[in-house]
Amino acid sequence: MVVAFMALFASTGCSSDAVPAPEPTLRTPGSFVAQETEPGDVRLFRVLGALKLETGQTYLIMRLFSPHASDFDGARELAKQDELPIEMALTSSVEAEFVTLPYRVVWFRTLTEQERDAIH
Amino acid sequence: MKRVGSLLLAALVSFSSGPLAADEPKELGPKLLHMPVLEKKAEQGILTPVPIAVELPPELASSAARVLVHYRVWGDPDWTTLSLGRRGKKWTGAIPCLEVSTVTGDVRYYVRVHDADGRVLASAGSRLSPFRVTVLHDTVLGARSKTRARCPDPSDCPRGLPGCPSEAVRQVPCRSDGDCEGGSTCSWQGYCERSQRRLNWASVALEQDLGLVPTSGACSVAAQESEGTACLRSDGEVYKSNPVYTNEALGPALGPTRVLAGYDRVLFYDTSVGLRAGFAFRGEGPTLRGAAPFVPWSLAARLTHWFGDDPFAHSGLRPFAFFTAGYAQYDLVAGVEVREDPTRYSYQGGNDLTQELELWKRAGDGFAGVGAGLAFALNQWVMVGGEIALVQVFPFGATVVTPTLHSGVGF
Repeated sequence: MVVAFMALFASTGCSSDAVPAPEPTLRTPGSFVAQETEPGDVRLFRVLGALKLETGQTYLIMRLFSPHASDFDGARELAKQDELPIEMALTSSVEAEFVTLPYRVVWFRTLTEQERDAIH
Repeated sequence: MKRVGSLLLAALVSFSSGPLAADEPKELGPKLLHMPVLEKKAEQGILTPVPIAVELPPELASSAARVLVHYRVWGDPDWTTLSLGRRGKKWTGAIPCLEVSTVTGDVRYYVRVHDADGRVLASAGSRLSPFRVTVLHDTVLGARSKTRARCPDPSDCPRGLPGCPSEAVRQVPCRSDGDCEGGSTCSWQGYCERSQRRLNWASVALEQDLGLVPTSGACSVAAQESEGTACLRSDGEVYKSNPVYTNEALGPALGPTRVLAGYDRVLFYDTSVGLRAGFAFRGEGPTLRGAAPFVPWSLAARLTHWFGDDPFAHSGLRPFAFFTAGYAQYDLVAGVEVREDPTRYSYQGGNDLTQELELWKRAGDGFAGVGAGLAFALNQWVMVGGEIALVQVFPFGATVVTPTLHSGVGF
């Protein structure tokens, strides 16, 4: 009977279960992006916004944190921490230039009201 | 001394208007045979049957289905019942000579007439005022002892055969407790029985609810607004963002802890009905703004089948299964991992890509389910045990398992 009940509920699962979960990108506000500036030195950015210009270029408005990591996994662990020391509260970079160095979107967290206001 | 050759109770019926002996208990039957007893007290020898013949008046004879003789030989604490056989207008039989045996002393007996339903139509004598036949030794009776046949060989003359002692009656028919005597009661099958069975049971119980709750989409804003869920983050904030549904369709959850007071009435040897009133003293979840508050009280009815042969008649194990339904709210709490949808704008900051939320589900208010358990009767009055039930809650759905420990007192 337990199996029957479980089957009943299992059958009510949403059809979107099979759809792959959407991933944050470099342009997603709230993304944590790790960039390897030198081998063994990974900086951690937080994307606060992405501005697309008429020229076709995209400006990334970011926050740079003080701690560095030695690899992308370490950067992900840093990103999961709630309070990180900030090196630069606001910085920007042209996306095309930013991606010239190895980078990876390592984490995501929705922006707070204060974080959203930082770029306004 | 009088001699018992054939004790004929020429019976005349006088219903309730008939004279009652001063020591006749009124509760023995609705109607009484007024008997011009020829031999209320008689004497006879050992190893000799006590013949009994009853002649009923026509108005009674038509409705009489059985005539029972209840007797008690000297030294025997219990009353024995035998059925008289019908021979024309008379009902005849005999207290077996082997029962009379060689023991001297009084043999007491009285007669009751039953209809086809077991109801007592009339009686002659009673336990308090029985007929008496004094059994004397041959040396006292002298020559008179040789005038009657002695006990036949039981193998030659078994009970029930014509001319032999009457068949002993093990079950006395009845319609109500008033038709039974000596502390016996009328059983559900229509026979008098002497049982310590308790028909009413009061109980207390401790119940820990466990549940299975659907977790897919349970933390969406829509679900929290309309499906009785509440998702709390580790910082205590209510989650109000954009979750991505997962494949975790069901999650185990902890429910309230309740104390229950119950009453059950045994309707038949193996069947009882009951009520349970409960109060959840632990496990109440948060109530979101605008949501209905948690109701800790619960009320349920149940129909229980008890396994075994007449389980309430004796102590020991009493396995049972039951169906239950009623009113209750279940606040179920489970851990659920929620993945954030980064492609959708969120007004609530601080939600990680994945995070563990505390999912509360307020399920209710009706439920129905089945269960089984095992009780142990320490004696006829006290019972302890445990049970487990699986119930489906609606309309705010959840599947709840309710393990329970209980003890009961019969009365």
